[in-house]
Amino acid sequence: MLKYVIKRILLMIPTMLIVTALVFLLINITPVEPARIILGTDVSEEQVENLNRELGFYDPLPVRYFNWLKNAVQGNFGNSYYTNRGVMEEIMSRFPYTLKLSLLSLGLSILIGIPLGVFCATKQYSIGDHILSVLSMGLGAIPIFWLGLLLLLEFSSKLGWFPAGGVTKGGWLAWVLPTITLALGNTASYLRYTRSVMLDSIRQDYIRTARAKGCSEAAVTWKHAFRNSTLTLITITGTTLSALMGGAIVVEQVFTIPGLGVMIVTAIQRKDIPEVMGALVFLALFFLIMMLIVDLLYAVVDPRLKGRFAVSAKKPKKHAAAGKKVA
Amino acid sequence: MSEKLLEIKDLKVRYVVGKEVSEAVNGISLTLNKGETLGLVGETGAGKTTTALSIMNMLPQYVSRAEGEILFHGKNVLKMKNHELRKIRGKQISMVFQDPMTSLNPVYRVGEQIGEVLSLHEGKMPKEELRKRVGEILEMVGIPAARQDEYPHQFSGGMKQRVIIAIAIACRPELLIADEPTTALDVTIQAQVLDMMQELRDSLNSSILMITHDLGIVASFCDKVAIMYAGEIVEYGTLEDIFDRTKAHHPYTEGLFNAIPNLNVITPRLNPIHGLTPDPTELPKGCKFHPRCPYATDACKEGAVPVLTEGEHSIMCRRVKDRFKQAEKEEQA
Repeated sequence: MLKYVIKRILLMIPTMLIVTALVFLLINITPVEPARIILGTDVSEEQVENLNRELGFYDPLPVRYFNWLKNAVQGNFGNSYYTNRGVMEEIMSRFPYTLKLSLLSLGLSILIGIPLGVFCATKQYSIGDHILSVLSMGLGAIPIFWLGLLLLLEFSSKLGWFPAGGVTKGGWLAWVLPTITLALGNTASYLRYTRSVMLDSIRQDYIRTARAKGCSEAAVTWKHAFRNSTLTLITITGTTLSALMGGAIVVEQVFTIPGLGVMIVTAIQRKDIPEVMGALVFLALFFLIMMLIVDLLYAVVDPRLKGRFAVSAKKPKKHAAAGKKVA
Repeated sequence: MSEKLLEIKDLKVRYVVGKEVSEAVNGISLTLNKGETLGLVGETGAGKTTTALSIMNMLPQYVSRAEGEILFHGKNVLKMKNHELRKIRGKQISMVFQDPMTSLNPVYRVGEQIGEVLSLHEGKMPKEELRKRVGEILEMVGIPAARQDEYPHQFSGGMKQRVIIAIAIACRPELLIADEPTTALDVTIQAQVLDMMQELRDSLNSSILMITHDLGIVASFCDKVAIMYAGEIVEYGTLEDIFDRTKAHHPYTEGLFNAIPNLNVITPRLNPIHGLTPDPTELPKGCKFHPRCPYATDACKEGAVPVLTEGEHSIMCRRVKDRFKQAEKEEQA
């Protein structure tokens, strides 16, 4: 297991190299002189040129990339062209908001979507199933920004139940609307995924075995069918969490949350290369680590997959052990 | 002397999907006494599994309609409430399924799956005791007790079927329904599993309903035999009644026996029953076997078919009597 984890972590290195190189290339296709941004308009051409040279702007692209890489490996992601704050410092101050928003809405989607999906599967073709299926398709089709604005209009402006924005001041009430906005679409997809996965496992032969044993319907559904569905649901959760980071960008804009999403969008618009690269490395690493966790969870959930964590050198040993047992 | 354990009276099962009605079981009646083994023989689609599932009242909800009575210890299974059924399933009636590869839950240890039946029906017991009991049951089916911590994918097909049998016999059921328990296994493993089931039957004194399409298994395993065709029992009798080739038989039974190649005679071609099993959504009128029957007359094409009974041996055929009278006449002449 430990060997497997180390192997996976080492494999992250080439992935990160490719990702960073690609984005570095893309963002430099339209060249921006960093010195012009940093110094503003009230300076002479000569000053601009000097600073550009100092920042390595006149070096060829590969050289610039490797210089960036050299610093990045040492944990130095540079300073923002605009605010001159350290990039990592900036990310760390914003990331908690994005993470909190994502986790809250992920939790909400799971808590509502999965039980409803199980209900739909066990009562397939019932009225409740039909209503929920149509509803989930409708909800899944609503664009997040529109939904956010609608909720703001109704529950904040008209009814005044929740504040519009203001998450920075604390107060959990301010989190309610953004969480719901971000969660609704995912709840719908959790419902549909859970329904189809459960429909699949409910029809398996071992469900019939469980019934023949005298299990209650609840035990048949949750202990036998649902347990076999968790593998797929974990996969979906891994990718959903990463997609949530994307969805968070929109929600952060609508509800003025100072999260990572807003930061990236602004940084890209302003061509703030250090910030873009820093945030990108951070998000890519986060994504890769989530994927690793998902893969490790597989082994916990499904014993059949444990074999793939064994590193090849271990295999003959296992066979020898099995042979002894028989004897 | 023998006590009635299971009595099926005029069982009819239909599957309704949309406008299509599939008549899977069409009025069968059976009796199974304590300690007896009944073989239920028939080709695919004859309604064998449907009959078995009805006995546990485990037909798929919504799409199936069952009529008639299934009396287990005199109580109608089809009318039982869910909580009553749960007490019977796994404890008094249990079932061995056809496909061992898919009938075990892949994410639980084999021991857990056996232990589940025990704790469901015999109440909670300390972990150590449960492990010991599970170990004993595994040893009964010929698997080392230490393997209870393994998962189903670590077992071979024959071993998995043993585990399924272990689950079925864990609570020493009075009735064991074996739904083609050896179909998915290769021949040597088949023999092992059958031998083991025979031993278990003798030690537990359970009644067994053996569903199969293998006449060889029937001959070595059963006391009584019921031949099923298109949802009806076309012939029923003791093992001797059915396997005695000099006696009168239903044409379908005859066809089944004729289809078995004789090893001592060179047969250039096998001798099948011509035609196909009728579509259960469109069963023929009259005798359901008449389109494939070599002896069918116009009278067979409609109306109810009389049942000819002689002792325990009964045949559902209009022509049997005539044919034998004719044969006797020819002999005398």
